[in-house]
Amino acid sequence: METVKIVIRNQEYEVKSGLTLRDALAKLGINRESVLATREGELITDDEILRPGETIRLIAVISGG
Amino acid sequence: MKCRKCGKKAVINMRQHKLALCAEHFPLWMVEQTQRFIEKYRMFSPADRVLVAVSGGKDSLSLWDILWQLGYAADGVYIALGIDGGIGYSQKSQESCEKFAAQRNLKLIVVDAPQQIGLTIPELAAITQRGKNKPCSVCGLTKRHILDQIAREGKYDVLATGHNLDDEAAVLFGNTLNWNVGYLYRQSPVLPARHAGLVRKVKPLCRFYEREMAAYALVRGIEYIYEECPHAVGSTTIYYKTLLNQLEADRPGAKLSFYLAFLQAKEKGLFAQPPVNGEGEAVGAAGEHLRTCPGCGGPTTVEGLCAFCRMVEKVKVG
Repeated sequence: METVKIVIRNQEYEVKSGLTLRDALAKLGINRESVLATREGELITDDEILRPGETIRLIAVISGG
Repeated sequence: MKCRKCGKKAVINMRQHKLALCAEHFPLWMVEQTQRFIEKYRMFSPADRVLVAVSGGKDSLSLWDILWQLGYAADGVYIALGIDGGIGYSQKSQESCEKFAAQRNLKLIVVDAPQQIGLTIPELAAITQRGKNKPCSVCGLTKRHILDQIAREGKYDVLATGHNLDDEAAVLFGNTLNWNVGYLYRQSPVLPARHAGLVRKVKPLCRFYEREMAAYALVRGIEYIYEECPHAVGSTTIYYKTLLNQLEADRPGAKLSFYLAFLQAKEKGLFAQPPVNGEGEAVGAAGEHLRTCPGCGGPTTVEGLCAFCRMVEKVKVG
């Protein structure tokens, strides 16, 4: 499989594998300052290359009323 | 990316510090930095009794975890507000706090606001002028009142809150946009007790980005409530934070320097205290004299009952 699934809250996106997480977020219009990314429950930095078939879960970090 | 301390795989890159750290060294760094900020801003000493206001969110639970690791005598206080929002928000938040406290054998004080007032926060907001558009103002007033009361009654030396740098920068941004000079003068990592009914308030996390706080909670395995308060959706604070993060993405360190340069400007005396009609008397944010509420003993800027007691009184009469 060539694609990577990126999940944030209830939304799912698909991007090409082989991109860095930073580039994938930029393509999706997601600000990298507003999220953390996890691969299999472990935090990863945004220079990581996305692997075919994997799921990256994003954690939104902004809160407050 | 590799950890600067040991060369292992980094879990976070803090571009404003040009610092990447691994899962082992990042939480250690956070704890060390918190101690540094506590000392730098003279927040409290190991002899002080600290009350931590916990909401079940990542910031307040992480703060409590850090203070616990540093060996401070820190109890927690959670205020049940009766907010459901279709997701059992208050119940889940309380469970997070209780679980956290039980795992570390810490004392958690739980205050049931609906039991005290007779109404949940959304119910109270629906029938008061203050809560006409949104319950957040009623919620804030209630929380401040109860936190002061618990801290006062429990004879705590200091009340610690989990405000992070994004919280502080968003408030600063809003107050600058509106030139709320009184609030700018007062915004600080430490709010001295300005009245006998108040305790000193401190924000030990005020120099950490919100992103770092979420990462800390995750790395430490803290089970915080991830869902946002249903009433915070679309709030001005979140809007300002989003704007500031856009700036940060292009210019790493922009949020940090915005806040730190403000604190430095304050230290240099570039913000003047709002004028008051007298000397040496307690004053509110806008410079008004602080009086004592005959209902609760807390501070008030007007003669008679404070805003919280007036609100509750009106509901009882109505």
